[in-house]
Amino acid sequence: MRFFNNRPLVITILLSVLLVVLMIVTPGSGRLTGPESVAGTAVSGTQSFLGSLVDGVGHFFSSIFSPNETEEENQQLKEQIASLQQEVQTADELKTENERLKSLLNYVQNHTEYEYITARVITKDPGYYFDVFVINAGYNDGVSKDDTVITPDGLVGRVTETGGSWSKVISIIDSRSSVSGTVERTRDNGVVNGIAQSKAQEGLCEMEFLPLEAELQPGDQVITNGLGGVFPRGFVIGQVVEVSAETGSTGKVVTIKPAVDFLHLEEVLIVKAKDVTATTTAQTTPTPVATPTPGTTATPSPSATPTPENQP
Amino acid sequence: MKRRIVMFVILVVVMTVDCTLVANLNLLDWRPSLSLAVILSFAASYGALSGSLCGLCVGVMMDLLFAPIRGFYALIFMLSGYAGGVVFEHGISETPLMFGTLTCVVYIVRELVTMLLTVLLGVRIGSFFTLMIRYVLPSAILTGLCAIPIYIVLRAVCETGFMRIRRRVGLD
Repeated sequence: MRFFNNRPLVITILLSVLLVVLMIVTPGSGRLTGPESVAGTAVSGTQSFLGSLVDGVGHFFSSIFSPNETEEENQQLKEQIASLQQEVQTADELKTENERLKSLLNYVQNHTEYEYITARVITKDPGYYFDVFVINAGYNDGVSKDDTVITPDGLVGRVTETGGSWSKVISIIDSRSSVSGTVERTRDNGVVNGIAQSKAQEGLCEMEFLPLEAELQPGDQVITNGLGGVFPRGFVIGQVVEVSAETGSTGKVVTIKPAVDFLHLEEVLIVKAKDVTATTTAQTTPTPVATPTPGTTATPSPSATPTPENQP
Repeated sequence: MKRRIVMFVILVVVMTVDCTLVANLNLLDWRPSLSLAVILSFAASYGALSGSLCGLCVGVMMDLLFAPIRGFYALIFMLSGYAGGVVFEHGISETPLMFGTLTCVVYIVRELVTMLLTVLLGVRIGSFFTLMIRYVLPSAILTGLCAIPIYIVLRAVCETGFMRIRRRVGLD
């Protein structure tokens, strides 16, 4: 009876049981339900707004304590200096953002085989075990579960859940992530896995299931090969940094440094297959065939046939 | 009601700082948990149940945004808040230094529980000792140090105006 008199303990135990049941019956399911999406929109929207304020404060203080300008100018006009520093900081921020966005635009214009949705990273998981972040684009923007996420540098990860205006992305360095890849030089196939902690904190991955006789070298580039149907082929995953002398039970294991800098990820592109509706219509609409007249042969007009590169 | 609203706002703001500023800072990959410090501060001021519910609130928000399954972070943070509240209710001296030490210990226990749940989910974790010594222990110490000023400020806030409750800690 004393146990039941301890109200905080009883409530905590009941909530714990409820949460364990919730963990078992509700794994992540792609598209979030209405209440989850609304709650997530509220939380991610608040985070996005507060995050921009926090970043502004952080940049302000880092500019104040910047040794180059502060030491000289502080002796002369403190107020003007603080104001000028703020303007410089804003201009630098805009310049850096401009360069990043130009890079994204340049990539999109040079890679027209897909369509892209641009999104910004709002928040990141602060823990050590999962490398998940939230972007400010959801199913209302055309994002779907398992969409590939990239930057001009290379492969970032894939979308695991979508809300109305936000989505969760699991990066390739997350320990639950597996990407089928090919070493570009030797054409050896393997699987690139993320690693929790240690190497993951340095942003590294492991590539397994390589043939034992594979002759890899540090510097070899690894790209996606499209196997498994999740990631399209041709996106850069990273470079080999270390070839292990030992082999695992699954073949040779190498360490890969991803091409993307996950510590400084700000804008990403979500890859979408180009709309093939127009192409499909052209194929299915019957083309009129001229009635053969004596002495002539009806020649069917050519229809657009999708080449393998154009298929999603 | 006003007290609960203020507590909720503080939790949201601190969680945002954790997920944006702290997550992007690269202090040798040490990641203090300011959310945990705030949860334990509320537990110290208002009792184990309040700590438990604050932890649940933060955990639910983190589950929505990051967790692989619903309830993962909610369970961990809720138990952390409850454990902190229980320790304070059993007479641990409420000095800032003791609070910082307790936060450090709770952080380590929380990470161990998280690691266990993560392994049960089938996630591969490399060397346990590397993880503990290289990342968890320094992050725990950093969390404890950050918790001291947080505790001082929040303790003062919780003793003023409508934030103050009449009943003694532990009896709500």
